[in-house]
Amino acid sequence: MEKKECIVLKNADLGYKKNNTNVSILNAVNLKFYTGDFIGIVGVNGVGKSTLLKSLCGLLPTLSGEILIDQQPVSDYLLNDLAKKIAIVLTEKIGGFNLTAYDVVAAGQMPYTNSFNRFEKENLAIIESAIKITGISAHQHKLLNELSDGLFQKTIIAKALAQQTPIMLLDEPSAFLDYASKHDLFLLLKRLANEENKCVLVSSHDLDLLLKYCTKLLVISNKSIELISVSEAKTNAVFKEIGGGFI
Amino acid sequence: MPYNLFKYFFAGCFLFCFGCSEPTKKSIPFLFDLKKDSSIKYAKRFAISRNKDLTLVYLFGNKANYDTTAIYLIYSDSSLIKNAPKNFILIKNPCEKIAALSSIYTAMFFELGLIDNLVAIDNVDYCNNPEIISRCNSGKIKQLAKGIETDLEQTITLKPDIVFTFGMGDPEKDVNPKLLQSKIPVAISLDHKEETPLARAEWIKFFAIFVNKKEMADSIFNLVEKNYNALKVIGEKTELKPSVFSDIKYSDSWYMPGGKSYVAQLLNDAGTNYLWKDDSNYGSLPLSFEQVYAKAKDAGFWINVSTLRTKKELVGFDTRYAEFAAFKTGNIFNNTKHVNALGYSTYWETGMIYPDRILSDLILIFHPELKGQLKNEFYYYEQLK
Amino acid sequence: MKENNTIKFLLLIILLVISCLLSLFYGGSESIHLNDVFSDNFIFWHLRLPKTITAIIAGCTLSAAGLILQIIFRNPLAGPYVLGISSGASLMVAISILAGGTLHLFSDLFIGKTFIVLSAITGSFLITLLILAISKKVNSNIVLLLIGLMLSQICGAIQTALEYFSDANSLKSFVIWGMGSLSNTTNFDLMIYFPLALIFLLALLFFIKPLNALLLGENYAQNVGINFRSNRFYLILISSVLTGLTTAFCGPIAFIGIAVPILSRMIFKSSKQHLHIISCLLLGSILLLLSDALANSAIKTISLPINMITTFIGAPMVIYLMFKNKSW
Repeated sequence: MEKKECIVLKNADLGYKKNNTNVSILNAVNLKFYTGDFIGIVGVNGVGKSTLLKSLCGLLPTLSGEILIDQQPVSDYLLNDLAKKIAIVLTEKIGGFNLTAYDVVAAGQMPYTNSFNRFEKENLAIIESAIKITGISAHQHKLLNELSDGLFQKTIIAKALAQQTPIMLLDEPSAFLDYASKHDLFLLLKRLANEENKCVLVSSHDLDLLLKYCTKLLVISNKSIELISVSEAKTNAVFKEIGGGFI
Repeated sequence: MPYNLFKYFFAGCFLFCFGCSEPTKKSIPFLFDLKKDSSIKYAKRFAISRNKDLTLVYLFGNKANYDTTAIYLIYSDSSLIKNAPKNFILIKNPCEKIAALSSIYTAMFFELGLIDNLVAIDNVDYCNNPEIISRCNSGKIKQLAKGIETDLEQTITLKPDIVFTFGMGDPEKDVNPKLLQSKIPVAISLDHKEETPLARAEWIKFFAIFVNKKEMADSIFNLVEKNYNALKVIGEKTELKPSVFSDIKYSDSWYMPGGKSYVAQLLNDAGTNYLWKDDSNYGSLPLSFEQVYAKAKDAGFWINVSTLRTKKELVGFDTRYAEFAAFKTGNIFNNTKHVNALGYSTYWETGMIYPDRILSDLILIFHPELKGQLKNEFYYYEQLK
Repeated sequence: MKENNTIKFLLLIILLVISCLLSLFYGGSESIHLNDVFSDNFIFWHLRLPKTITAIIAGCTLSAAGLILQIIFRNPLAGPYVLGISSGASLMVAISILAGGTLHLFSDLFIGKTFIVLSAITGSFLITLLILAISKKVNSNIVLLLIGLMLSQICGAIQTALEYFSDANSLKSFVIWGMGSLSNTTNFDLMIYFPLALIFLLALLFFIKPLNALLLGENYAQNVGINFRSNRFYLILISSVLTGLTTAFCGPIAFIGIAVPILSRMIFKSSKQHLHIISCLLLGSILLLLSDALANSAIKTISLPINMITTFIGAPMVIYLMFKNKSW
């Protein structure tokens, strides 16, 4: 399938505002991501992986420079349109108010429902399939507070799936999954990138998984941010440092 | 009368004191030869007894049983009181510098001709007396009210000979302990706890004791009593007893004076059918608008509508007040004929001293047919416009 | 699951009708019979009826306001007064009742109750403006809540000062206003209260999706296409108007705003907010109607303050269900 540019960062300074001053985490980032990419983001804690992911989907506004999604700046998108382009999986926990796993997955279809949030047959089918693929069918009617960390993570991933977006961003999605589930997840993400031409970005500390399944790696240190292919990983200085000599 | 108990009470006191502190023979006899002042006819909350050197004033503040809650010992010769029992409150006669912490007491001292001795009142906002207002403005009379509390520092600096205030009748509970410590004499009035208008008016005699104005107080009260009783007879003899109700509602509650309250008694004496006269409360009843409406919707008269002076104001608070017959006929009267800038009426100053004037007003309201027999002018009341 | 909910709703509707009748016919000291309805009975048409309708409107507005704020702040402890609306209204009413003399200045334009209602509305309005302006500058929910709390405290302090220096009569008047009352509205007042409340309740129809999305938290709500900041702004506006309206006509009514949404979530296990809006309207009305009936008939000769009854009926209910359910 033809590879298109889907995400472009142009001289972007990424960070957040604190007390009216800009705190820049990543400086002057220039990157391009294409459809069909399955990119693993590596870096030590605090280096800016989450900041990058949140900035890509508009949760954190860029401090300077711009981020283009399908050639249009993120800030120019209507929120609902952007919701149909990018889905994100974060590490934060939500719950209460009688929310069940099903409700969270169903939320993924919100960009496609009317203003009364009425779910039609097509919406329901997509939600069903997302639940099946992530393997949480048996737990879908449980309250969020009752789910284990691993099941909770799968639920959020299912929501991102249900959102049917060409771009998927996942922040440490495998942190609480068991061995088999981790591999299941990465296999799934690889298939989505290959067969459905999605652009998938995953941050993880699981370097072996990334090496095994991803096509490219985004290696971040506080001095540099490089996009390399998986084959170059073991010779990359920063990657080796992150690996701490164990990889 | 509980007076007899006192003789035993005192005897008991002496024996007790005798038993533990062996006072000299000189101090014991000073409390004998006390004669009770039997001219106090109506007031139940204070009593006076005196001998040639001293006067004792007893307060009966206990709600249930009229027990003595305080005793004032008024003396001129300080050598006589050296071994007075510790619980007696000692007050040197006569008190020249007076602080009166209520508009009623201020009015009493004014009536007793003692305005020059008044050094402090509570708050000029409550006052209607132009003389007192001007003295407050010029600083000759100080104001001791500081919000809800009394300004202790100012009081102590002023060093009045006596402070008059109201309370429950027990100095330990009523007076700020720091004020007690400063040794400034505080006299507590229980006039508000009296149950009849004449009893309340008779307290002018209480105030008079401290300032050596017994004769004047007696003569004022005697006239009040005479007028009141004469008017009461007129009221009783009336054939028509028009129905009447009182007050207004605050939100959900309409506080109607109880059947034995001050207002109810005045209304009875004025020859009316107060619609709640059969109730047995001395205080107020919290009723609902519904209850009042059900009973009083056709009543002939409506009195004491808070501080309101016009029908428009009344209906501005609730349009449903217009449903009362008394509203439609305009027979609404309030004790707001003379009010100061902030709405406080003279009713609450001199009215308490001269209940005969209130009664006169009431009879005039309810029995216009008696116009010829009465003073044809209101002291405190006016009809709502 | 769905049939269960339908049955529950039917039960609630039946309960609503019963409470209405109780409030109309037993919510007072005089006895009212069916034939009084058809005669021109003053007590029924001008005392009971407006009181019952007020109970329904107040129950609807406060519980809806509470629901909105609990969703925005994702906190079951939030209620309609958490942003300081009632403190603002209270303060303005305190100024108009306690700073006595000035009343006479307006005596021709605004008299008595109208003045108090307008003061309360002004107070709520000013606080609302302040909170909305702050919410535009502040991202964090917690900061917004804290600022709301601080505003409450400031209003309370000024009010305390006014109370301290006021005279007994005015103070009593003000304190009694603060106890809340459903009986102060006349049929004429309802012609203003009802339509305004209805408009803002209907406005919620436009926010069904955002209300559902906000449950996911700011980040996920944004990610599925819901603008957190602008929805928060409008929802706070709606909630404040609903609260301000009721506080203006009834004084501060305790408890309903916090407890009813919690009760709703315990009775209906769904997370769909359109369901909860309806159930809150029903539950809020029922609770206030029953409280009113009880307040006025418990002791024959006295009518108890409504705030006392709502709490005494409602709180044990919440505690009991809390032990049974452990969910909120």
